[in-house]
Amino acid sequence: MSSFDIWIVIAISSVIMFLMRITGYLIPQKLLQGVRLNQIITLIPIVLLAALVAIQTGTSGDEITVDHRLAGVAVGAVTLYFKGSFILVLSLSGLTGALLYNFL
Amino acid sequence: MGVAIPVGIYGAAFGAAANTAGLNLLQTMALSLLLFSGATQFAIVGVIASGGAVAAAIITGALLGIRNGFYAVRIAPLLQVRGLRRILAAHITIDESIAVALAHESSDGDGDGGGDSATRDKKNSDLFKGFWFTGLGVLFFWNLFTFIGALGAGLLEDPARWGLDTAVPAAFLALLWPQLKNNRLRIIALASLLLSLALAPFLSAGLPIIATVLIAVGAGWRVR
Repeated sequence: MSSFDIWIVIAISSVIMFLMRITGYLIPQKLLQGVRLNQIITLIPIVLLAALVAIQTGTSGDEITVDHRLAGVAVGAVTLYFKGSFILVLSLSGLTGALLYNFL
Repeated sequence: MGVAIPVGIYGAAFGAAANTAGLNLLQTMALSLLLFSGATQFAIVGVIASGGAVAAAIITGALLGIRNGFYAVRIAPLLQVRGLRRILAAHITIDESIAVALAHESSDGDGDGGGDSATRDKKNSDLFKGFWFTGLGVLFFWNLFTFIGALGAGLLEDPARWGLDTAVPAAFLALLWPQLKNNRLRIIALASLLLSLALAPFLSAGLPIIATVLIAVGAGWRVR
């Protein structure tokens, strides 16, 4: 890709991203007030974050992979279970991932 | 700020990845400042690094970014922003700002508010602060560390060596955790996790994540 092409990608992608975001704010809220729709929208951040965790932990490209990341995220989950702080979760899981990656 | 700094540091990995993919400093910073969505930015430089076409980079990035549009729909009625502030709110609508804000939502997730009105006002103000501080904080630190990472690309060529590839999903898990307030929500999260993994080998990047919206539709359909 030439430098010009890269600029095209940056410009178009940024515009698309902004449009997707602002649309969510501009949809008239009256349209979203049904109980059913409300229940669905409430669940959306939960399903998307769960999927994001799964994809970033357990896949490389389009392959399912079990590696240092799974071990590290599991340590993070245990830390969360025992009510560890955000920074502690990141530190322990990152440390676990790095140790396994570098020394196994 | 507890979320913004560690998440922002991962910007260094993006700066390094963009540099390695052949983007110059201005292009790298333009992505972090104007596009501002981690997973999408990584996807775009990934496609560029692998010699992909312009359209492939744009589409892959957009598929990973639709998430922010859904978040906007979820957060808009809680924030009630108007005018120019709405543009800024839209720009900082990301996983982190939404998750921190929703951790302060004044109910058990059914949207109709709980507790007495004083508790509710306190919670709404926490929600508001959580959104703005986290969103603007990540915007600042993400860009600062993108800059550092792009300059020191050699050091961060392999983010896995520093545990960054593990800390990032762990961060998203930590953001999700406080939202899982009952067993129904835990089961929904687990189902989404499994569905996205099951689809990952068959669908292109981004789609396995978006597909879990079907679980939200299925689970939210029955009026309770």
